Amino acid sequence: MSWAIAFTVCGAVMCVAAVLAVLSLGQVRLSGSAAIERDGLATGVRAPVWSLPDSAGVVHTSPPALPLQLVVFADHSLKSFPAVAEGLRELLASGAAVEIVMLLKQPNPIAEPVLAELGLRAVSVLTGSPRLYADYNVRVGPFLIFVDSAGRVRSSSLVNHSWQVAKLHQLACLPVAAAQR
Amino acid sequence: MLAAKTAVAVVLLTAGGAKLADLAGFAATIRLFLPAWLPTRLPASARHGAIAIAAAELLAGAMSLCWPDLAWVNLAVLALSAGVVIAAGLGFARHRGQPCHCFGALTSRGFGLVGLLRAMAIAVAAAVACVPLWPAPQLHLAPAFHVLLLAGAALLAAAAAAAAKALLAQPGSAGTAA
Repeated sequence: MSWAIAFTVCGAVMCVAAVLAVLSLGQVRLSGSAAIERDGLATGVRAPVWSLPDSAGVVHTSPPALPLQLVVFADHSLKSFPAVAEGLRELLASGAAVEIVMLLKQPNPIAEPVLAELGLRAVSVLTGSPRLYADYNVRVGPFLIFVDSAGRVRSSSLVNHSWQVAKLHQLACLPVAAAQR
Repeated sequence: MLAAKTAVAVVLLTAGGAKLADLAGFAATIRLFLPAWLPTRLPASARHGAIAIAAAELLAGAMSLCWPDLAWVNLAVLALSAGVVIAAGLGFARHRGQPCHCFGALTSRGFGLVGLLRAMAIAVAAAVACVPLWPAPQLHLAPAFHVLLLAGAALLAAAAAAAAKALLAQPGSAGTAA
């Protein structure tokens, strides 16, 4: 009987240790910098569908009515990324048929004034939710996702520089099959 | 001997659970070893093979852990481990660097020397578990112990599958969505 107890204890301890090891491994690999670089949604997959009002009460939807929608995952901290703000300004100035919206994770009253200060008054500020961020698989900002009018992701990336905004827009304008290569 | 038996059972449960979460990825690995004509004639053969191997690993791991007094289970686990060594050896020789999906998406490691050595270590542990002891330990477990170990085995397989699935859901992950 003592062998049976020893085996059961040994087996139970090993199972618990293995469960903890497997979950820790998953946690480490999902929270590492390499994993964060792979946040977002792959090109061609279906983006979450939503309908949210901005501060003026205008309802914005995804998929958009325009050919492309740029969803900016950020908040007032965009001020700390002047190069990204510059990239967004350049995109607005280019006259491209892109609807740009900033999707907040939670209500943030200073996000809109900060955007106005950055010269991004044309960007609509929408209040999303942690759940919506999770649906987009976004954990760290500023993160950009281009969605087309069919509701498919055309390009997505964490951004730090203005050229990345332009490059993502270029990728978003490619046909889906070419962008996936 | 008992520790080796438990360790091999835990490895099999983890591998089986993780493989079930990435059947398409493991089927792609199996296709590497199939003759070229087989997937053409039997398109689902690799997927069925993946399901069978994952199920065999889960079954062998659970039986070995929960019914330690069944000697034939030790031999079945040893045979399974020998198969893994052969596959790792062939993979090392012919498909070095290709993802092996031995632990589903839990590892992105490909066929290589480390994988071969790991498979050999598992086989050695499985062989150690087959060595008869004298006097033979009384391993007839009470029903409550069976239930406890079975719950542990199910929890481990589910945790491995959940972790593998979460890693698989990441864009650009090494695995292949099922």
